Order: sequence, then C-alpha cells, then structure tokens
Amino acid sequence: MPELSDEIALKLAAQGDQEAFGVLYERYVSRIYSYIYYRTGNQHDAEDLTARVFFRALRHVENYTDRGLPLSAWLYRIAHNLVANWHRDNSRKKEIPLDEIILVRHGGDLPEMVLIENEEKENLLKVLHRLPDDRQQLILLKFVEHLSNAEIGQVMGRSEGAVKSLYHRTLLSLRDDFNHPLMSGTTESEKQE
Amino acid sequence: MDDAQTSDLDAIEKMMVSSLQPVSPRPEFVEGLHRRLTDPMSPTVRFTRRFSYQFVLLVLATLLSGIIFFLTASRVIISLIKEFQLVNPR
Repeated sequence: MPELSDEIALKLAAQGDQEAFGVLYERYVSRIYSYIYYRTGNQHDAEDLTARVFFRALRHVENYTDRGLPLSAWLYRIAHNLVANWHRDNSRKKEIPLDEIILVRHGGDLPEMVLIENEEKENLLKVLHRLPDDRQQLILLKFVEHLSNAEIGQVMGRSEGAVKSLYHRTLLSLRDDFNHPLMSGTTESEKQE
Repeated sequence: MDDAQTSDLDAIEKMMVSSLQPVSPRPEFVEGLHRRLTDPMSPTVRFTRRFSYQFVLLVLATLLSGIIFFLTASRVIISLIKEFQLVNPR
C-alpha cells in the first residue's frame, strides 16, 4: 500500500478504503503538523488542529475532485482555514511558547553560540507572528515546508508572480521590523572595514 | 535595489533557513490519530449516515416523550384543581 500514488490512494479513499486514506495520512501528517505547530506555537493545539484537518479531509474526500490541485495543497488549505478560525476564536492570540520551538541545540556548538543563535531565532519568530496571516503562511510554506512559489500559489490561490511579489514585500517588512538585532552586526563589521 | 538592501534581505533569508526547521509530531499522537481515522468502530471517527439516522430517531422519540409527558402532567394538574374546587367549594 505505501507505494500507491496520491491519485490512486485518493480514488480508493473516496470509495471508502480506509487503508488508502491511512497511506495518505502517513504521507502528510508530519508536514501538516509542522505547519500548524508554527502557526499556533504549542503542541496541544497543533495536535488538536492536525486531527481536525484529517477528519475534515476524510469527511470530504468523496467530494475532492482533482482539478490540478495537489492533495498537499488541499490539506494545507484546510489547515489554513482551521488555524484562521482558531485565531478568531481566541480573541487574544495565545502567547507563543517560543522556547519550545527554537531551543534546538546543535551538538558540539559552544553554549554562548547557542544562546546567541536562540536569541536571534526568538526575535525572528516574534516578528513572524506579528505578520498578517497570509504572510506567515507564505513564509512557513517556503521555509518549513520547502514548497516552490508555484506550489505556494496553489495553496494560497494566487499566481506564482503574486506569490513572488508578496514574498518580496514580506522580506522588506521583516527587515524593517527586525532591523536592529540582525543589521547591527552587519553595520558594525562594515564600519570596521 | 542597492547592494546593502540585497545583503539585508539575504541575511534575513539565511536566518529563516536556519531557524525554521520542521517540527515532528509525537509518534504516539501520529499512531493514535491513524487508529482513530482508520478504525470504523471508533466512536470518534465520524458520524456515519446510520448514526445520523439513529440520532434523528432519538430526537423524535425524545420530542414525542416530552409531548406525552406534558399532556399527562397538564391533565393531572387540571384534575387536581378540579378536585380542590370540589373539596373546597366557595
């Protein structure tokens, strides 16, 4: 079963084959979880929303028609909608326990280096969470999920050009928000030169 | 775009590449959800048509019981009032 293509597994799942749906689930659960985890910032909500994504997909798999939209794009869309509802339901966005996400220690690195690195990551994630929904989605799909602009366009329902343009504007706004910690190093080194 | 701006944006991109790593779900969660999704007997899987049909029947039965209870209770109250008037005429 695991060697089934998405298309065949989808057809089987639409006919009620739960094993085929299980194959698709195994294939995409980590990616969907990772995306939701970055959007919610905590494991509990990420697990809850991931489960809802797949239950919703299971309920609607019969109606899923292949219109050139890959299954992953469909799942990301469901995830995006559920995360948007989650943010709406939580009138004040929940505090993001950034430490959980960022404290990834690389073996062999000096503790000071790890601290600096984590501080930079923490700043980046704080700035990211202040971005509008669509920009957060774009950044996560690009850097966490490693999707191409065309694939991101399919998920977001935009053209590749529109994604490129939005990405550039997002980078500029990130640079403005994130200016001091990141750029001070560059400026200092330039000054020394 | 000047060189300084390009290098700033490159620095942000590099930072995002190194900071935004995929996060893996707990294996117990993945296995548990797999079981819930693929086990037809699991009550948390989904509402099947049969279940929905049963649910509608249950609601109808509850409504019917409620109406019968209401009518019976009304008749009892009316009888009690009548009885009270017979025992204590003005």
